[in-house]
Amino acid sequence: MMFFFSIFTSLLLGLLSCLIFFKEKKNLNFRFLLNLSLPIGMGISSVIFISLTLFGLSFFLISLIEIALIIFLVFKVKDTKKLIDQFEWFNLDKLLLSPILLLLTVIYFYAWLMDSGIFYFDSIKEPHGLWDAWNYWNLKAKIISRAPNYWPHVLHQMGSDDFHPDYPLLQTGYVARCWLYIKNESVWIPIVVCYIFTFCTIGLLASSVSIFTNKTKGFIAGLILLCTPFYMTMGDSQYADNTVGFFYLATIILLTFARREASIKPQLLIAAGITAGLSAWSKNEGLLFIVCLFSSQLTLLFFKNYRELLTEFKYLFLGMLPILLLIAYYKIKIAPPNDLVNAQGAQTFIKLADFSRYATVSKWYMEQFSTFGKWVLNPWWLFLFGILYKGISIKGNKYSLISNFTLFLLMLIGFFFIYIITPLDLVFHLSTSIHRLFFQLFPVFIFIYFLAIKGNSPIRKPASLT
Amino acid sequence: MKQKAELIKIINILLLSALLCFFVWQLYITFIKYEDKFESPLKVTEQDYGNDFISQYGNRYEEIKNLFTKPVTMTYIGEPNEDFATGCTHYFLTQYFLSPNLILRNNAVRDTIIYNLYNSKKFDPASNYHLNNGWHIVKDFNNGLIVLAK
Repeated sequence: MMFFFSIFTSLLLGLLSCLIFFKEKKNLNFRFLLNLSLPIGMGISSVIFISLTLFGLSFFLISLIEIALIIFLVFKVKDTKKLIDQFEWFNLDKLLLSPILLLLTVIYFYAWLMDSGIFYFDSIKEPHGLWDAWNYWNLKAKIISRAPNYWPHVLHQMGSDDFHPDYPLLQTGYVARCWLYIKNESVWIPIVVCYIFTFCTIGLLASSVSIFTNKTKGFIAGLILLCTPFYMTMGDSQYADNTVGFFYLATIILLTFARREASIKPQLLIAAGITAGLSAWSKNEGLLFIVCLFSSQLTLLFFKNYRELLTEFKYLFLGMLPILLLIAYYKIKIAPPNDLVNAQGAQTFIKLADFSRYATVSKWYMEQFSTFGKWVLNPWWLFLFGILYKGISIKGNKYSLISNFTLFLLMLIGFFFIYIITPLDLVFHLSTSIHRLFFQLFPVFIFIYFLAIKGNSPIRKPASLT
Repeated sequence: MKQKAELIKIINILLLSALLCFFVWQLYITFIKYEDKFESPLKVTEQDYGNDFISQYGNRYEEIKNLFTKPVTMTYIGEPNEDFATGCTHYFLTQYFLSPNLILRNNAVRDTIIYNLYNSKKFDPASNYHLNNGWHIVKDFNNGLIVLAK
């Protein structure tokens, strides 16, 4: 019972926050809202829980504060009954009109059920998760849940080479919070948390592509992730890569929403700031994402007034500020230095000048092209075929597509240079992480791809969405 | 013009059908790897759940957990001559099951020491460095886990 309550409170927190972000709520797609709000709620719960434990508050008091926040948001949203009437629910009649759409729906739900089964079977085989899951994420969740007011001291003393205690605490904090709710360290909590992040990423991708283009493309986008065998392995391994991947995707979707109209939408930019902040609270790569996010917006200087862009920056920064403060406090005061950062020095310049390292990393990047996702047939050829057959058009979402694609490229370049300067054995580092880093960006790539492909005919006008 | 539009529509439908066939093929390939499990999920659950290496390994720590009523920092000592990867696994698992106690394997000497002799189970008291230098056995759990204190 408490298990559901712990997740339900996060759902409410996320749902109400998202309803405030999407102020004009006409024809709001419920599937989109649900897939967006649940992980955001979990992220906010994690931030609240960890922040308040740092102030020495008891778990009971933290729970009360969370509930009080939910009540406050209910009053802020006001007319929930009217809202529910405005949702666009699942409409079977529309699907029955088009045989192709019906077929896509059937395959989509079949894939969803099958992947849920695979997730379940893998999870009961390895209920503590794979190596990184129990060794970093679940270990720290145990420390926090067993010593809610003492954990900073324990993490501070941990050897940075062994346990990576500098890794951010979104997933860890949320699992610890749920364990404290149910007063039991059930292995099902991290399993369910990872399930939610994995499947909400798929749902968010499918529903947002559907909103920005059409239902067929939405289903295809979702199916690409559902059919990628390694994507489920990433989810059920209980690593935080799908978590950070979700927040990358949510950020660029919210930015795309914010930029669909001529006028700035401050609440959506703040929401994008929050999700970008939550990505940095999920994994260290999220910090790189924030740097790339701001850098990528600079490309818009060619098209926009710099004052307008500065205003956008202001709202983005405002959204992520509380989370960045928490991360800064955690990194400076609690966590030992990051092993990759700590090892930099004169060696960094030697590595940057070593061209054999560039060749090695490039080779691994190219290899990912052929083995990515463990598909039976390399899916990149299908993406390429789509571009050749349909062509690319950036008319509808010019600003978003330019900045999002730049962001995607900057992330790839950023990862590349992290490998160049890594203090770890280069091949070992590449072999253990490159596929996961690429997978973090895969949903983002699919989203950008479907928005860029020609022949997008939005079902609804953008004005009715937000 | 109308004929061209019709032709494009047909090509689009054919391409979409081909794409769907590809998705179904991929799903089928994935499915056959798990076919046995989908056929008898209850049996698989009964067989797999709780029988993984980590859960089984955790059973060794049930008793020792009660020894530490508040968080303790201790030195970890594994099997002599263990290889790096095996040593790491056992060390990390010890930290995993005994958190929030802090278990460190560097050379700093601490008052509390935990031995994790997962293979040999016992050490020779006569030749043990710690026993001959002021530490005593707090408890030997008879499963390779031995706690020493000064």
